[in-house]
Amino acid sequence: MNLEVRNLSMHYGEERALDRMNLSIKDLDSVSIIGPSGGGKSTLLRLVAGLEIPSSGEVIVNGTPIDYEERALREYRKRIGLVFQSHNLFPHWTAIQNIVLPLIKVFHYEKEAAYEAAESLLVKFGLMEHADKLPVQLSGGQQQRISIARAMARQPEILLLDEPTSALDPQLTKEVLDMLIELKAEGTNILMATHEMNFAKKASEYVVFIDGGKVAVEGPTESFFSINNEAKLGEFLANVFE
Amino acid sequence: MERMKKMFKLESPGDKPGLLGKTTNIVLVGLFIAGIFLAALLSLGYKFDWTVIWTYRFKILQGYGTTFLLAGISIFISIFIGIISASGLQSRILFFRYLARTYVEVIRGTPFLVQIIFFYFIIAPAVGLNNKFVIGVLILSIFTGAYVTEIIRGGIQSIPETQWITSRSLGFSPLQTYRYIVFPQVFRRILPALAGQMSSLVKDSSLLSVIAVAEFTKSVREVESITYRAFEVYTFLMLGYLLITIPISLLSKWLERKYYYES
Repeated sequence: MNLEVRNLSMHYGEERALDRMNLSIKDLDSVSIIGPSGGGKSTLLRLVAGLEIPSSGEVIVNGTPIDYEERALREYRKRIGLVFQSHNLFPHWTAIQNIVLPLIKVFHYEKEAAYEAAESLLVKFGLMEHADKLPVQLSGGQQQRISIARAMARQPEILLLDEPTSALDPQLTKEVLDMLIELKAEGTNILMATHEMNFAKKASEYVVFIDGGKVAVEGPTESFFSINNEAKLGEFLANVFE
Repeated sequence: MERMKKMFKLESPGDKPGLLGKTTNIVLVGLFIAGIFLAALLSLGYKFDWTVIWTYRFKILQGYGTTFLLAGISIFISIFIGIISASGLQSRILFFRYLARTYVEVIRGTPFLVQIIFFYFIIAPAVGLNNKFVIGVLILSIFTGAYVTEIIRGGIQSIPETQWITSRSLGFSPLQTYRYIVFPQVFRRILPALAGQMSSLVKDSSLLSVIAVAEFTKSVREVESITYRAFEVYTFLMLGYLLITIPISLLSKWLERKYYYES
């Protein structure tokens, strides 16, 4: 994926969630965004996902600037897969309906084709036995994996994940991360905000540390975790590994 | 002895009573209430004459049928009004928003009896309405619609923010979000409350007797004024309403259990 963020600002009243952020990601498969809560990770992801309109600046995804006009955004969102921390699935639909209905209603799939696509994803990730369960009957890990499967069903240009494991215990976290590692190995482009340093180390090629609405430190994974010289990053990592 | 005790007293309030305990106690409650009434009547030296109900059966049944029809039609219109008005509350166009808000506040803030009189003596003649049944249906629907609005609004607000965002991120349009994601859930969530409101509607319809809509209460009161058999006819009146509201109440409880899928 190519992702270009230019002078991007997002203000909520007085609060500056993003403050003239610049970021340039070129030809990378998997990028992790780390940083303290409230530092701007989620805001960046929501802007890249086309869910909010920035106060100023622009975002260029794979060469095309995002047109922040509602109708254009609705088209743009079809190119993106997005998974949040929790409660991604609609509680009145079964697991498979959660995957199938966006395909039918948004992408105008035929019913059979949509079910075929959903089933092959569920089979692939070992989730077929849960196809007809309601979200409330699934574990947090299963819910997240089905959410990721739903995001993948549209064959997104980028899979955006906003702390997808932070509501899960270590066992379930591993389940979800294993699935993401598998997806990454297949060449899925992943941009993930996370607190999982091990995942950032193991499965991403590039790490971006965001604090105070700006990119504080960034770099290829190996060198990123070795520099550790910036005071802020040092403190953050110390807290994470505590 | 222990078993006998269990029939009358639960170990803790959360326990479920057994079938025998339940039946026995319901019968006891019935006997208790009947006993009070009988004692009151005996002290008055009242002699029953239930034949009056049979004598005026057609009049009473006609009233009962009118109540049924009145309530049945009003249920649909009031839900329709509620949907429109709840949409108004969510509207980005401020005029609609304040119009809906005003409607809800005025209706919920004034007594139904006053609304009936106001509508009957001021609005209805002004627009040339003189069919009492139609006037009754309209008043009842407008009145109940305000409460339905609030029920729907509460239902829409109970859908968590993340679902709206998720729906948007999946590419659903706002209309599709309402249609496929919000309304199906809202509908299930508010069904029990809605059923309760419908039971109120049936009872509230009795107030329409003040403007002489020939519904159940009105016809029973007429029978009373002819026969002076107040006890018999009003007992019958109460049972008649219970015959409609108890099934609605049971339906509401059943719906609550059926759609209890969300944590």
